Amino acid sequence: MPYFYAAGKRVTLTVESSLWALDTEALAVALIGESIRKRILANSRRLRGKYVLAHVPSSALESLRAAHAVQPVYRSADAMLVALPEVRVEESRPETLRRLRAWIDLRRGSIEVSEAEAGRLTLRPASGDGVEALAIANELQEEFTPELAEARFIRSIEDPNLNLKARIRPHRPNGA
Amino acid sequence: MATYKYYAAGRVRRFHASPLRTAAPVAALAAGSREPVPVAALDSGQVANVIRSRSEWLGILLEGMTEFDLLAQSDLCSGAVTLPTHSVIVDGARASELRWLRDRLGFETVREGRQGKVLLRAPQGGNAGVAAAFSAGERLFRRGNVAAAHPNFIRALPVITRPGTATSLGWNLQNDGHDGLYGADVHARAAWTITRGSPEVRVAVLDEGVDTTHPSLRPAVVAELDAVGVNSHARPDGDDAHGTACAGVILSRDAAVPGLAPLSSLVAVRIARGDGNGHWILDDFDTADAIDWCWEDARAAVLSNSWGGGPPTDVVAHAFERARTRGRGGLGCVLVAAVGNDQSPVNFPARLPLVLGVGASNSWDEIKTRTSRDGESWWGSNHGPGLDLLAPGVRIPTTDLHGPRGYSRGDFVYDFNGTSASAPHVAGAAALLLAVAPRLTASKIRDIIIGTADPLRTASGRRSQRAGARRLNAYAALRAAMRAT
Repeated sequence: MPYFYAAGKRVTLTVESSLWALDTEALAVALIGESIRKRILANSRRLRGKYVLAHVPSSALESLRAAHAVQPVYRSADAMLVALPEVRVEESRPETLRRLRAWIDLRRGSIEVSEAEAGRLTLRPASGDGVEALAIANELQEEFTPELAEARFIRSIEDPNLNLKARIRPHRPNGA
Repeated sequence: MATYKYYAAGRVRRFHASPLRTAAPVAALAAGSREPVPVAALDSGQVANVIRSRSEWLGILLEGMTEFDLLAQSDLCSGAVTLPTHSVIVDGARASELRWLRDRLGFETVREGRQGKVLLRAPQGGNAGVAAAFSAGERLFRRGNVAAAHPNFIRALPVITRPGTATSLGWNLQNDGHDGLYGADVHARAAWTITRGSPEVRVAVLDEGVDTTHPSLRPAVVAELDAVGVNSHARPDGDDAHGTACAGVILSRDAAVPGLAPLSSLVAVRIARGDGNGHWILDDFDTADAIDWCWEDARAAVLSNSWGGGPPTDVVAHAFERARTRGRGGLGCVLVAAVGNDQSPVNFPARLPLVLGVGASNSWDEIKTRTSRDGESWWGSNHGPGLDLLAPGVRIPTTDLHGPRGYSRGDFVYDFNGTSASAPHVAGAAALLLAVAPRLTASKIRDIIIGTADPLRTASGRRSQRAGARRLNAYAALRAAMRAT
């Protein structure tokens, strides 16, 4: 079962079998029929940036995976989560940071690294796969217990207006 | 000015009479408040004419007195103007006492009321009669044979504004007991006698955007960030009015629908966008970066978060921790978050240890549940670990999107609901505290706000033992903050 770490504890994730997060840029060049592409997009919901939430026909799934166009959707604590192919790492202890960097150096070919400031790193798996980002973050957690190692999640939570907005009545003072 | 004595409830009272035409213009204090609220000044001619035109009987009581003779005592607390007449009320007197009044002082019976009340008029007219009425009442009472004896007063009282009208505050700020419990509010009126906030104190509203063009918010805006898109502003999409409503609770500068800390500055941050299907979409990295931007670049002192849900995330928790420890030059930002509206355990991020998790109370000072007296059976405040205190969250007046979009067709909404409305009250209170005590640490402010909140009572009048069952008291918090500096 997939999981990630928060505050040092494992948070389990349930895979949403019927929904996928689609990278619309990758979808545009994926080797699938135009009609399927249109059908997928017609029933999609916008997530964030280039990502949409959509049902994907099983016949198209392999092609979309090959084009790195799909990411799995997870559920946890009443939210839907999508792990993007990015990991943020923070570490201020010099020795742990040295060991982290050594671990990353061994994977230079498969992980792209940027370090905006000392001890704050962003890792991107070359595969473009959110599942791999989740695995990298978990491995770092289990190996080094860094101050932060977490895959980038898009989260879909309940709109705070839900059940409240609909019942708000247009109203004026004095009943006007 | 003349001072007369009379007896009421067995004690000597003093009546400070000034000619009505020179009596201080009436400046009323709203009931229960110490802050003057200007009302239309009454002039002596108006009062005299109104009295005479409305009642022939009152004209008789003031017979022989011109508007230049009329005496009055103004009560700055209630806004009432009291006029003495040349008649005296006697209650519970034996016949012998009334005879004494008539034979010795020349008073005549004008009218007999129910239950032994008698109204008698002095033989003199004008102000001499007024003085005689005071004297006669005092002497008669001191003889010890009557229940009451004092001049008959005419009272001109200001009309008390009906709750819910544009000129009254919402119950959240001042609960007058109409449709609720008197005083079950955040004590804004009292707090405002100390401060209404300071432009130096910046409050960040992290939400689905804030209408920064709203006339009641625009003057407060000092910084905006769109963490969702690439806009140079933090305004929301379409009808998304949630953030605008939250910002209004904190610092609306509208006179009729004010925020709790209306002189504070606003940092508007858009971190979420509705998907049109009942969900908000957030990117944890962008949210974390927005939090860092708030304390690092925008110099926000308070971060108000009316959002939550889903599993915890370290990247957001760490950003909050940096804001709490490194914001405000190391004194820390005050972090506030709504606990959620499902009547279930407290949402992330409100349940983070050093975030003030805020639940909802109603106008009866109850924790908001699906069965509480407010009648809104479709939602209840979340509860349990992480709930630190409550603040009003039912039918809150606040800002809406400017123009016809949003919750209503106008610029304000009067029914904003949820812990989303509660959390900004606490953010506003924190802004007030920082205005008077800018060197207090975030932890100290957090402790003061929780420690000075009013405990809720059970139906039997006992203190509720439920965790977090205490409602924000901004005035008490302000006083404690001033003592702590």
